[in-house]
Amino acid sequence: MVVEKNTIKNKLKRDELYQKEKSSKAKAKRDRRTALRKEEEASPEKKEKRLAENVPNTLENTREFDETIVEDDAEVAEDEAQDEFAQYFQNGLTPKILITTSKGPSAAVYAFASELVDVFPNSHFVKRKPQFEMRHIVEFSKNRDFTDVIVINEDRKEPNAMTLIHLPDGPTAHFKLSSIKLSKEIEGHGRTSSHKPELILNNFNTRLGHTIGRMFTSLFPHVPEFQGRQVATLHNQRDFVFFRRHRYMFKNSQRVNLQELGPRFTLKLKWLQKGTFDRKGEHEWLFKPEMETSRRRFFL
Amino acid sequence: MNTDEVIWQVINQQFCSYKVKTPTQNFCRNEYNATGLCNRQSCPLANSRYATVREHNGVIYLYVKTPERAHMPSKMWEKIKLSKNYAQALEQIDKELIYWPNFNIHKCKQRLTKITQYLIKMRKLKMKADDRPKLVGIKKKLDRREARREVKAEAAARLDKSIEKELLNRLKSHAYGDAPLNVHEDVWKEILEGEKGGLEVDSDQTDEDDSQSEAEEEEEEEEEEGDREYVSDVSEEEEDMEDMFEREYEHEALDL
Repeated sequence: MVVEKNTIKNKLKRDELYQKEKSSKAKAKRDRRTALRKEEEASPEKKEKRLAENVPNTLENTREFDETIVEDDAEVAEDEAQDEFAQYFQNGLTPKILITTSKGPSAAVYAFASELVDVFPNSHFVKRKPQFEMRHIVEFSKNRDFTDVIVINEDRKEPNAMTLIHLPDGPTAHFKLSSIKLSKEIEGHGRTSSHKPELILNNFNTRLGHTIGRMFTSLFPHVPEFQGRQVATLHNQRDFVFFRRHRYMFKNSQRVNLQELGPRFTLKLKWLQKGTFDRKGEHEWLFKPEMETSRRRFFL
Repeated sequence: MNTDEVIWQVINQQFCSYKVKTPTQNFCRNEYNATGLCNRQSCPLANSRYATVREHNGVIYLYVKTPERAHMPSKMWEKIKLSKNYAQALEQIDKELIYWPNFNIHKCKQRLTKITQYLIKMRKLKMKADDRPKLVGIKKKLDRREARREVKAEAAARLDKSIEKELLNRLKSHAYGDAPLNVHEDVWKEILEGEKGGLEVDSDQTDEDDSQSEAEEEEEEEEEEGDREYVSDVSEEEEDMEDMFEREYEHEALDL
């Protein structure tokens, strides 16, 4: 007679049966996997086949089709050859960046700004005086041959947004800023050197992503100083742009050792505007919550 | 005039709809009142000779009322446009109100000054409005959702792995030149040797599971070369296969 385990009144007995069932299940699973491993060790192509077939669904590989994804498009290349960044990419203009804040900033913003000054070679911090509006700053920077302006915005004593203006003719991009971790908050962080870092840009695939990628690229000098072994990364994943900075060391032909230098932060594009900052101007691209029709829709 | 006195008696002793009574003082709400006070001198109703200054859409006018037009309510007020120039407007008032009581002239000029000043301020504020930061509402739900998605995106990004991969790619594709400054000689030698032996490891693998795919690649290499292999034996009684990490220690001939 089969007795249902849950009907057994003796708790010790009931427990024992449950434990037995559990361990036998685990053993069966273990045996199955060991057998599989043995089999695959004998014929590696089986394992290869299994791994090739068993690709889990992710948001990335089930992404909604976006017709603006760029793949070696001659038209786009032509377009980009004439855009606002052509000065940098074709004429080899050295970037010169002005970093400033919103009005009446707090200590956290200054700390973050000073880290940004460290990140971007040839960047200068200018304290924001309350009488200077954005248009004044743009004028000021244009007259002094700055190629970019970064304005850090704060809310409740924390940096919460960043406006990036490319000079002299724009475009202007506004990002939400989150997950800021300064160097000293990162455990085991390294000390930075003054070498120009190299840049890794990952996953800026759509037409909009290209523009943003070019914008970031034009913040760094053309020729990095490789002996410094510093690398700045802007990695786009699901429209979040993660910034990281590392020092690297090639350990062997397979492995690289990374030491984080900091800071870390995450950017999310909120809008992109043609031309230099204009509060009443039109947006080339503007994020609206209603655009989020699906979790699988990404814009960068 | 007699009627003026009659009107004033009514307003003062009986009722006036423009009058605002306060404990200390009485005010007048009539738009034509030059001072805003309720008294005999500055009452626009009880004076058949009266002058005031008013503004319409940024243009300042002098309004003049004379007993000659008292019988025609529709044409009672003479509306004279004043110059945009403050000094000229003052002169205009002087000219229009020549031989008038000093009280009227003075109050009109005071009003002109006040209006001119507030117009200047309005224009300034309007100019500044474009510079003022735009206030955006905080949407807690959106923020929470984005924060959650950010955490997940970061996990999916596997930042360290992707950075490592990209760096190795660059090194192997000779992006750092043929004598790179950022790599130790031995490692560079190893990579060059690998290329010579036709063993260049394809690091463009899109496989998600890097550790596994790497191990596989190593296996393949070894088979091709017929190298020696040292494999750790894994006992059958391992606690859980999921926690087990497959690791193979391999030594290539050149390293030994």
